[in-house]
Amino acid sequence: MKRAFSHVLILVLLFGGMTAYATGQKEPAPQKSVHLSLILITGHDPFQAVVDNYVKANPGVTVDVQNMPTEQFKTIIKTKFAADDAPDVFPIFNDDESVSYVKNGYVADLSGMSDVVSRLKTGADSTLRTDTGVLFAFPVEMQLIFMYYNKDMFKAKGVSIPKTWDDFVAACKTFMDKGITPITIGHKDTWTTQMIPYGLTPAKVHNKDPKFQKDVLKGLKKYADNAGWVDIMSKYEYLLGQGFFNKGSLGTSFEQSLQMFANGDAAMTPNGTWAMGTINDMKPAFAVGGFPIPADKADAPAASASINGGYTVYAKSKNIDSAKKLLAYMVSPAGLSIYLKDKGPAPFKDVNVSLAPAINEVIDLEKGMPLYNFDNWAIGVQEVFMKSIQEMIAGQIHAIDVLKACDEATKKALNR
Amino acid sequence: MNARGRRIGKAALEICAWLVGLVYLFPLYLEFTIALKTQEDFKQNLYGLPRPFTFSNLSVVWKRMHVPAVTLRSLLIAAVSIAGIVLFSSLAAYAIARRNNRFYRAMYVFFIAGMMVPFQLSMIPLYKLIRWFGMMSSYQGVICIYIGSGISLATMIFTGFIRTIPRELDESAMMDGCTKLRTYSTIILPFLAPAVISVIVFMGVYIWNDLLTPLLFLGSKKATIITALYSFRGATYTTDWTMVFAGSVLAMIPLTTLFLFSQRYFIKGMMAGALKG
Amino acid sequence: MLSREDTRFLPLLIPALLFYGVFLVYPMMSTFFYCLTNYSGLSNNISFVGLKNFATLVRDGGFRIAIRNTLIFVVMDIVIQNALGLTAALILDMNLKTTNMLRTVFFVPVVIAPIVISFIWTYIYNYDVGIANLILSRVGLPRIDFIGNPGSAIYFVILSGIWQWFSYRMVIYLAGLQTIPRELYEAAVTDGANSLYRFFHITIPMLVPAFTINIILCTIGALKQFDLVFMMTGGGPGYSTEVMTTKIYREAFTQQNMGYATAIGLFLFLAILLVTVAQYSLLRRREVEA
Repeated sequence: MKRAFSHVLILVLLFGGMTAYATGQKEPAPQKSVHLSLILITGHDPFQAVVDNYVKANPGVTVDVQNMPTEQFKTIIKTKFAADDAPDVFPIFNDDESVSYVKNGYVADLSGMSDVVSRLKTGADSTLRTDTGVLFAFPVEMQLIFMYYNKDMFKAKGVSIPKTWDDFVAACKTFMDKGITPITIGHKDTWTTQMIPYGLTPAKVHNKDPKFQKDVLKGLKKYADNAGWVDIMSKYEYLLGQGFFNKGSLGTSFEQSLQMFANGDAAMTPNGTWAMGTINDMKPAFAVGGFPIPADKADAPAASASINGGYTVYAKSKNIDSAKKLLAYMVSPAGLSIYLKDKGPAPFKDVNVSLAPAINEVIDLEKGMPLYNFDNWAIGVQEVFMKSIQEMIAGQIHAIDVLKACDEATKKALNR
Repeated sequence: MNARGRRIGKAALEICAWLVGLVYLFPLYLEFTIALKTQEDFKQNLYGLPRPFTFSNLSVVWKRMHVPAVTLRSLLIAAVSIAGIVLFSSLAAYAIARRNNRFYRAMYVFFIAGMMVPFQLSMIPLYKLIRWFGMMSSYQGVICIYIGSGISLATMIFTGFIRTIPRELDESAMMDGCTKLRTYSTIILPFLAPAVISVIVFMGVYIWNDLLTPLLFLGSKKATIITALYSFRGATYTTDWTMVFAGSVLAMIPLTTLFLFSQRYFIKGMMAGALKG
Repeated sequence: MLSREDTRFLPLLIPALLFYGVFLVYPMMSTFFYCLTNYSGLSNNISFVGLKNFATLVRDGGFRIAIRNTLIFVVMDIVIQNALGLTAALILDMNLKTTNMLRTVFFVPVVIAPIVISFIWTYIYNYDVGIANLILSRVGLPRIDFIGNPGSAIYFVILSGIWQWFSYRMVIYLAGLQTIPRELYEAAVTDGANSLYRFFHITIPMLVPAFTINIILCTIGALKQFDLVFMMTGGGPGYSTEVMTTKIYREAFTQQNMGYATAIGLFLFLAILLVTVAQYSLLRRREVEA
C-alpha cells in the first residue's frame, strides 16, 4: 500500500513537472512599466492602431489588448466583474445593464476628467450619465439609423427620396410592381428588428413626450398605451403584410441581407452608420445614399441619432490614473480620427471625420431636426422586444402583442 | 450470388458511398473554396471554384494569426491535458473496473455525472477558483480545467474497456508479487492502446475547438488557434469570412492528420472491451 | 466497509479524484447553491428565496418550449444519427478499396469549428442564395425558408448538427463490428443461414453494447448542445429553436437571472442523470455475453 502511494505520488509530481516545464515558457514580467489591459469588441479594431501610437508616445506603459466578439464580451465581462478582475479599460453600452454595473461599483465616474468632458458636443453625454449624474463612459461614435438606398435604382425607376410615410409606402409599391424587392433586412439577427422602430421613435414618441422613456423605467407609463409606439408597430406589421421585405428574412443574417443590397437585388435596407464600412467592403456597383425613415406628414420630423455607449475605466483598477489617460487619448482628436474614419459623426466638438457620401446625405437631410436617442430598456426587456418582433414577422402574434410583452417584461424587471 | 457478382456489387456500393460522401462533403467544399477566394469573388461567386485561386489568403492568415505560435500553444495545452486525462482516468478506471462493490460503483456514477453539466453555469465559481490558485493567464489553469472536465468521459471508456481484460492476467501478475501499479503498467496499459487512441481523438477535438475556456482563462498574449480565429475581425462590424475560413482550414489540419494517423488503432480494436463490458 | 483489497486499489483513484473534484465538482456545487437565491450574476446583494425559482420554472412557458425542443433534439439525434452511423459502418466495414479514405471523409466534419459550421449551413439554408433553395427552384419546387420558419427551424438546425456528428456513431459501430468473431459467421454459413439471417441473429445482437454507448453519448451530447443552436439562430426566430442550454445562457447573462438559470441547470442535470441511469440499466440487460 505504501508503495502504491509513493508510485502515485511520483506520477503526480511528474505531471507537475510537465506543467512547470510548459509554463516555463512564460515571458518574464517587465519591471518598472505600468501594465494596462484593454478589451476591444467587434468593429473596434482601428483602436489597436491608436493604442500602438499611445504606447510609442508613452514608453513607461504597456497595454495588453484582447479582441473578442461583442456577444462573448458581454458574458465575459460579467464573469470578470464577479471575480473582481476586470480589465482597466473596456467597452460599455448605454443600457440598464451598464447602469447596474455602475451601481455595483465596477465602473469609474469619469465626470472628474474635465478636459475631456468639456470637449463633448452638447447632449452627447446624456445617455451615458446615471440619474445621479455619474458619467460612466466616454462616447466614441455617434450612430445614426436610417434607410440605405440604391441611388442608381431609384433614379432608374423614377423614385425620389420619400419625405412622408405615404411617399415611402408608394415607393415600396413602385419597386414591387417592377419586380424588385423593396426592402432587404436580416431578421435572423435579432437586433435588426429594431431598425425600423428606432427610425420612427424620435418623431412619433420622443418628440411628442421627451420624458416617456424615463417614465416607463419608473413604472409610470406603458408601451402599449403610447399612441406613437402602437402606430410604429402597426406600420411595421403593415409593411410585412404588403410583402415589402425579402422573403425568408427570418432566415437571413444581417450580412447576407447587406450582400443582397450590395448586389443590387433590393432597393433599400434600414440600418445604422456602422453598416457603411461593410457595404463599402462589398464594393457595390452603384452609388449608395441614405435618407431618414420618414414619419407621417402630421408628425414633426425628428432624427434618430444615438450614443450607444463608449469606453470606460474599471473602478477597481490598480492603475486608475493611467487607465484614464489611455481612455482620454482614445477619444482625443488623434485617436478618434483614426477610429471614426468612414464610420459616423464624432461626439466631440474638435474631431473632424471624413464620412461616406451616404452618411453625409443623411446628415444633410436631417439638418435642423432634433436628435433623439435609441430606446433605453429595463434589464432583459430589449431581448423580449426583439424576439417578439420576430414572432410578429412570423405571423405568430400582432403588433400590439409585441408592446404588451415589453410591458410585462418591464414590470418584471422593475419588481426585482 | 457468385464471386463475380459479389465483386460488382461491392464496386457499385463503393461508388455509391463515394457519391454520398461527395454530397456530404459539400459544406466542406464550400469552406475550402471560400478560404481561397477574394472578398469580391466570395460576394459574386458563392458556389463556384475560386477565380482566381487566392492562396495569399492562407499566408495573410498565417501571419496575422501567428499560426505557428498559436498552433504550438494549442498543441501544448492539448497534449499535456490529454496526457493527464489518460493517465489519471485509466488509473481510476482500473480500480473501478476491478472492484465491483457498492463503493466503487458509486465512484463510477460520481465520475460519470460530470459529463452532464453545461459549462456556462460553473464559469463564475471556476473563475474565482483559478484566481485563488494564482493560475490566471497561465497554462496550468486551463490544463487543470481540461483535465477536470475530461475525466468523466475517459473514465467511462476506460472502465468498460478494462472490464474485458481477463482477471486471470491480473491475478497471475499479483502472484508474481507485482504491486497494483506494476500490474497496471505491465498488463493493463498495453491492452488499453485502442481505448487510449479514441480518448485522444475525442478529447483532442474538444480541446482544440474550445473557445470559452481560453478566452476566459488564458488572456490575450496566449491566444489558442480558435480564439485567434474568432478575433479575426476587420475594421468593419462584420467578419472577413474568406480570412476566417482560411484560418479554419489551417486549424483543421492538425486534427485531421491525427485522425488519419490514428485510423489503424482507432477502428480495429477500439472499444472491443467497452462493448463487451 | 471496505475490504483490504479495496484499500489497495484506493490510491489509484486519487489523482483523478483530485482534479475532477477541485476543478469540476466544486465549481458545479457552488453554482447549484445559487438556485436557492435571487442572484443576478452581478450584484453582491443576494438573498435567499427558497424554492421560488422552481415555482417559476413550472409556470414558465419559455421553459416548456425549451424542453420540447431539447426532446426533439434528443429523439432525432438518437434515431437519425444511429441509423446513418450504423449504415455507414456496415458499408465501410466491408473491404472496399478506399475504406480508410472514405472513413476519413465522413469523419472530417467533426473537427470543424462551430462558427464555420453555422456560417456554412446558414448559407446553405438561405432563402435567396442558399444552394438548397437553388436546387429546389431548379427542379420547379417552391423555396423553403428553412431556419426562418418557426415551425420548421428546429428540425433543420438539428439536421446540420447530425451532419457534423454522426460519424462518431459510425466509428463506434465500426469498432463493434470488428469485434464480432468471424467464427460465428462461418458457423452460421455452414448451418445454411442466409445473409439476412446472419445480420439479424449475429450482427445485431453483438452490436448491442455499441448501441448502448452510442445512445448514451448521443443523448448527453444532444442535451448539452449549445454552440450550434446559439450561432445559427440564437434560439430564434422568436423562441422557436430555444433549447435548455440557450435558455440557461439567456437567463443567466441577458436577463441577469443567475439564480433562476442555475435552477434550470440543476433540473437539466438531474434529468440527464436520470435518463442516463435508466438507459444504462435497461440496455445493459440486453447485452449478449461473448
